[in-house]
Amino acid sequence: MKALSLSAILFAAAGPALAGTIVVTDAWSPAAPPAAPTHAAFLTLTNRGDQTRALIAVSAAGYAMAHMHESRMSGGVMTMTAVHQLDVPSGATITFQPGGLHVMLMSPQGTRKPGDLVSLSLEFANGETVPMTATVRKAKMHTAHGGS
Amino acid sequence: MRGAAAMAFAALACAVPAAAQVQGVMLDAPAPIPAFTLHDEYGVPFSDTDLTGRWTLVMFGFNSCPDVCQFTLGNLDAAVSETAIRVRPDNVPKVVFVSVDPDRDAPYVTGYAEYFHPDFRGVTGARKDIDALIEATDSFYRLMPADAQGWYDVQHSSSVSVIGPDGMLYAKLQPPFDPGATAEFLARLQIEYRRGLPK
Repeated sequence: MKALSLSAILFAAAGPALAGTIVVTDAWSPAAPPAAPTHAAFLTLTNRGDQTRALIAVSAAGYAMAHMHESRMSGGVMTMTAVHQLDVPSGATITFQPGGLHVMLMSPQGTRKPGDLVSLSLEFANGETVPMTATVRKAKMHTAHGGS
Repeated sequence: MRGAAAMAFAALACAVPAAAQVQGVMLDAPAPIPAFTLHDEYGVPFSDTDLTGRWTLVMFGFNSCPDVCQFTLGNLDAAVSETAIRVRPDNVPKVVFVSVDPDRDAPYVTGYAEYFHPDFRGVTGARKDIDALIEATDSFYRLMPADAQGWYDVQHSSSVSVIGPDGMLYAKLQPPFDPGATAEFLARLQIEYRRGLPK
């Protein structure tokens, strides 16, 4: 009995570690014009768990709303489409990057400068919430050829 | 299996930059730009007459575009810097950002563009003037239906129009706007332009 309650405590303490089956790295937000009504955030998401996780929402402190969007080029036309659910299969890594998936941060409530942190929260369909911070930094523009 | 996937990826990684070398398309014959008048956020007009005397790069977009528009403007800044190394100072192109979303952007469009370079101009205006420029440059945009919160997206051409010193459309630049390759394209275009000028 004692062992059981101990394992229950361990289980509770392991909460953040369980959340750690979703690992977020390289979260950043490009510094944007003061007048920009929306900002973007990019990140890399890895599912180290053994089950597919569905990312269903993102929230951001200091913004009215945050949506997942995907930029797409088709026939020379740039379109953005809202992504309502992003499935991250077990073992998969999904990268939000310029010109593709991004978190759109809408109606900033203040100004930001490089080095500032944006607190984001990723919400998954199983109820799990993964908090994270994205660093504001100037975008490196030589995206296509690595500046070479 | 994993090895094969890695090989395929390597081949793809090589193929993509090669394709990306195509940074622009020259028109077979230059196309005229009709009369139009747009304004910056201070009310200063920008019209077809402002397209003459210098090379100009015209980009269409909207301020609420957090991803592609901002990276395009940033890349154009880098591309113009690269071009400045290759051409005479008076042939360095000006950059004009035309917002196709005047309802939301008119008060902010100039500061938005200037963020990427102090010499960039940001303008917008009446729908008929925007449409005249869109049509003349064979470009496209569409305001999408608003969601429950009133937010709407804007689809727009990703290419950038290159206007010659005679005010005519000569070429379209295409993503990813690699700075060096775009500068090479613009420098070549200017040589072609000078060759084609009446002697």
